[in-house]
Amino acid sequence: MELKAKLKEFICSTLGVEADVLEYDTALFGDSPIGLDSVDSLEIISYVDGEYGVDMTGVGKEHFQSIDTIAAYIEANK
Amino acid sequence: MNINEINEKIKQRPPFQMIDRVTELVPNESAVGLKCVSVNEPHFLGHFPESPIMPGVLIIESCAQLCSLVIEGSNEPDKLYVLLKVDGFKFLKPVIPGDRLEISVKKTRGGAGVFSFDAEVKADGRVHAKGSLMFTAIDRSSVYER
Repeated sequence: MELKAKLKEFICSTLGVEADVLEYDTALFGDSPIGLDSVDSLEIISYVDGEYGVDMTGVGKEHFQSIDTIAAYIEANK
Repeated sequence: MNINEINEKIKQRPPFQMIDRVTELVPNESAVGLKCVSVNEPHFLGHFPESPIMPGVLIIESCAQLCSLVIEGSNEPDKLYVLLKVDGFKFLKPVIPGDRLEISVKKTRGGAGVFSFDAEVKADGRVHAKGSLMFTAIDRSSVYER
């Protein structure tokens, strides 16, 4: 499965986000309707480390803006 | 692992010690532990005076303490392993004094210092509770920053 599709599946199944409101460029954190929080970000970091061997610990929040930016960081660092 | 060996690994003490014995342990993977429920435990004074039932949050705490025994290095002096998330817990049957809880925990994910476990709690061979827990390590000093 494509990287972005796998990230979306993880965010929906584990973090409880409805698939029909989540596009690859949808804002994930802050005032976005998705409204993920700091614990959710740790789950994403753990998932990315476990699945792709890419450690996003301490990475700037601009890389967590959306599925697009997370995928781009993984591609650039794996 | 008996109670003395458990005490070397975790910081909790009575009346907040929720694992009495560990019967199986695969470091960083899984464990099975026992919690013997006694009417002498202080929470039964109020939960409930006429009907002692072990609070669900303490069943979760029992699972959490067993998980902390699975995580290698969770006894580091400057670090504290904290519960981040409790997910999908179900309490299928009340736990009462006299029950011997057989608690099984199995790690499901462990990347980037975040550990997730599935937990199942049985008594007399029947599942009484089950759910998932997530932990991470934080600096002990950061807990008290305000």
